[in-house]
Amino acid sequence: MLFDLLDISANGKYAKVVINDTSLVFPTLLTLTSTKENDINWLLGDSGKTLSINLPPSSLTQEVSNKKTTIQFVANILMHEPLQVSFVLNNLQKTTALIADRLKIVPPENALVMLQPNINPEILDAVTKTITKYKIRHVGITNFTPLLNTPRKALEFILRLRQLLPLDTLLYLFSPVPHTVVPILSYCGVDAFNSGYVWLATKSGLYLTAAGALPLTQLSEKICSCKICADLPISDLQKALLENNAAGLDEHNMLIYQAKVREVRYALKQKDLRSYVEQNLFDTFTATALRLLDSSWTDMLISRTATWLSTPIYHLTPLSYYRPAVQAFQRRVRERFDILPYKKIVVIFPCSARKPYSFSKSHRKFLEVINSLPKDKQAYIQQLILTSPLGVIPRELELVYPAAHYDIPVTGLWSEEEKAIAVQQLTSVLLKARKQKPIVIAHVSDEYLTLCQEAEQKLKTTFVYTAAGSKPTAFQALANLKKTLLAKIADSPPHQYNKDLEFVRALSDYQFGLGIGEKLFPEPVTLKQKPNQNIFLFKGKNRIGVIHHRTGQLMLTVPMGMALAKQKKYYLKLHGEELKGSTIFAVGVFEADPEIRPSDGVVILNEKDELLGVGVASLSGSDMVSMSSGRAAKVKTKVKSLTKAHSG
Amino acid sequence: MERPVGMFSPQIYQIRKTALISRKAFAADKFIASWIEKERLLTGIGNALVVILNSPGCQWGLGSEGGCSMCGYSNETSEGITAENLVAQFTQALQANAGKKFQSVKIFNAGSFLDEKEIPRTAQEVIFRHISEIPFVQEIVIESRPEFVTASALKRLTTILQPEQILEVGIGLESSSDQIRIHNINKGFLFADFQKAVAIALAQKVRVKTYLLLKPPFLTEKEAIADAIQSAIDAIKAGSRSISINPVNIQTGTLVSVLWKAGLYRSPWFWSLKTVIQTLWKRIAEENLTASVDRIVSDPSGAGTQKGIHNCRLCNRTASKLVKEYSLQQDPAILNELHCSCHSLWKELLEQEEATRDFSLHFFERSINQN
Repeated sequence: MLFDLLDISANGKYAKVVINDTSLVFPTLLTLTSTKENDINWLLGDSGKTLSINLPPSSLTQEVSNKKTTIQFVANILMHEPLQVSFVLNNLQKTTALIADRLKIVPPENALVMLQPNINPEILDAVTKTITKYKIRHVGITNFTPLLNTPRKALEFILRLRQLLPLDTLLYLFSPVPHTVVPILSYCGVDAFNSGYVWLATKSGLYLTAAGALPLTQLSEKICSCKICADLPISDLQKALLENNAAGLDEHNMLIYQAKVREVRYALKQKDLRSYVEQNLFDTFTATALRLLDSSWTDMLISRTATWLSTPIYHLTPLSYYRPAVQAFQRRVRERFDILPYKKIVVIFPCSARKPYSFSKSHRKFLEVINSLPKDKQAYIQQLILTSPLGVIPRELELVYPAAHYDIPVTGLWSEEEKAIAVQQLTSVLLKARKQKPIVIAHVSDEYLTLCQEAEQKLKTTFVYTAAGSKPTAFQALANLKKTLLAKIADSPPHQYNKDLEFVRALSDYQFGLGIGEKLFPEPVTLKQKPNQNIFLFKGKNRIGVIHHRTGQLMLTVPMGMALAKQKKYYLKLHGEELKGSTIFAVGVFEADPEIRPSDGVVILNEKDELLGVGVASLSGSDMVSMSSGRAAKVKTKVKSLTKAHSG
Repeated sequence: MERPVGMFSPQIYQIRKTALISRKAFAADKFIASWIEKERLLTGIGNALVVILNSPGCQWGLGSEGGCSMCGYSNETSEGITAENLVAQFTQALQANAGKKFQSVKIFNAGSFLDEKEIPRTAQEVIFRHISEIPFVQEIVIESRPEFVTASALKRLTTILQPEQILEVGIGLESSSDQIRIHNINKGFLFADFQKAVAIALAQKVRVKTYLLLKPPFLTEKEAIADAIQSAIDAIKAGSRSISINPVNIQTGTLVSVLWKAGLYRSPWFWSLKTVIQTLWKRIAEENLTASVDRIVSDPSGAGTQKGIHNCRLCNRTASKLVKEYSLQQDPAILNELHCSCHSLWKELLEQEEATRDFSLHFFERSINQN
């Protein structure tokens, strides 16, 4: 079995899998073949090519049909609640022996085991150990439907499986589920869905739409114009239903179900299944599960969510405030951003609709004020931008995903939740400068001002307000800002300001950890940017690096990689002396920094800690180590000669 | 006799132990229930007096093996019931139904009538003496596990009865498959034990009615249908001329009810019972067994409710009536009068259940019931 993980978004995977020369893309569908009676099996795949799977055995007798299918059930592990834990564990030993026996005939890459929901840690541990021990790659789930009423349990079960099983184990949900929960379940880590819901809905007289299911008998006009609906008037569909004949309704319903799975695949290809899930808040299961995911499974979600994307983020619901990308950004700002010791003034600006902020009309006015100050005094100023739901964005990080990519309904109304997030983030960033006690100038009005006042109270300090009672862009407010700034820095001695160096160092810290910027860039650099083009780093006349303008990511070069390798940050270690090809496969990675997230820049080391090259991660650090197939990283630049690159 | 113990025995035992703590107290001299019902007799349609005794209960069920996975009758038993109590209960039941005409007496005691630990010998004999004195009673039905069906036990009772009175022993075979009876049901005896008991009964001119369970836990509905049909054929071949098909109903304090609460068990469909009955009669004809069968009945408990055999809310009532009518008339074509749009959903659910082994698919029945 060849497993190629193409894209990942939380636990959702877009993967190409080749089994016995047939190539399938995941997530996909499982469909029962409806040929002869007593001669049915499953077909895996929803677009052309399919693979056959036999029917699962009884969990009591474990008898399997001797029908030859590509993927074969080897066991149906009796483990569901509310069976006694001791019984399940005891019975598992017998089943494990049986599995071992059957694997003498069925290759592990073609073997499938069926599981049933249970969140007992002992049981999950024992069951997943059996699966990994025998290298079984296909795992089925049945008896799942009651969990649609208990999202907490559903998540606990699937996410624990996703935690305990390597990422390249495929999860097949044999229990039929409505199409509306396909996006969230895919986000949780389910790789294949039983299309059986289509038939159950059809036989129940339900007409599926993207958002749910409508009773066909109550429809008075056509909703859809698919090929079936276009040809058949609604009355014909209804009549057929009354005569106990699906006649077309099943085909229409199948198209809707298929579309959902394909849209999930598209969203995964964009590496942003999260946005699609938020657009699919059609039922309480999805809404509850999403909330619980964000609150209880944050670390797991973040580790498998890309750090760098160029696609827009729309914050449509309060659930958006807790997206992994948002939480990860806030966390990195709290942990990896520092207000430099010589900053004497912190200026807080309101956000703007246009991103990056500097491109907006308001921020151009703000920046004009800053730039009009004496050059040798500007170094004293740290700019922060206050916004929802990211909280606080230091000016240096305004290009970074998702700071430059988010869009939020601008109403001027802040919910209590948004306020709490922003205040919390603002106070924790300002606390970083508690030693130097900078003067905080809040150039904000309205709700932003209230937020600042709350932060003020929390910090037990006083802010200077320069735009109170007017718009921050008003002439008077800007003049007031300039006057205040000038007054505050008047007595300070001149201080050399390398704005570009501060920028790349802050960005490097954000990417790789606090203090890394100084190691990567010990000497001044300059930035050059033309509109809508990448930003280039220069040292004198030499181009030494590039920042992607659409993601805000600083791309690693070999010299940067050497410095990073010395710090033992964002590294992965391989067996072997040199890099062959442009892909690093997970099977070769034996150690990796657990901080690595998909799309992060990484340094590639050999066993002796020598730098082999730099690249971009496709997976989280821990997944690289646990997976035995698929791509772990893409190589960007290889080191020509090892001796030069020794990092010690 | 050695009793084979099923894999779920420890859990069934635990569940029963807990349930028995909250067992309702019944007065020692009061029978639990009695009524007159229409009944398919050997000679046609008649009336039967049903008496449910308050007894010490099934010793298998109350024992350390936990009893059967679907049986909650132990909740309607009491400790310390004496022979005198039982006789008093029975005579009171007779008094309560005085003046009514019935041709059959059916005694249920939540266990084995022939087990002397449950119904002491003297009580058995006094009760039978009473029955022998009731005019017009032609049939007497008691229930027993096969291990208590012995020649001496039967002889003691048959000698009390009038020569024209027929004794029938109901044995809960449930399934002719040892695997299913032992593990899915935890019944604690083998098909061979049943065959032996039938032979002993027949030798004593005692008839056997076989109780078969429709849909033991951990079977798909499709498997359950096939098993019930096969079991009936096997029981008939063993010499049992009466078959009673009992669709599982959810009884408190059982493994089945625990599974049901978790959403992992659904009582069978009327459609399945219809399939069993009609296919069974076809098989009987095909195998030339027609002369070996007196009656194939089904008197489901809780019919039409969520806990009993049910289809959908639109056809539950009709289905219950038709099953009753079929049992009396013994004409399987009566069941053809059942029509409902839920039939195609049932077929689909059977297919999906078979292919997924998902026991929670009844979740999707709600949508049709809401329309």
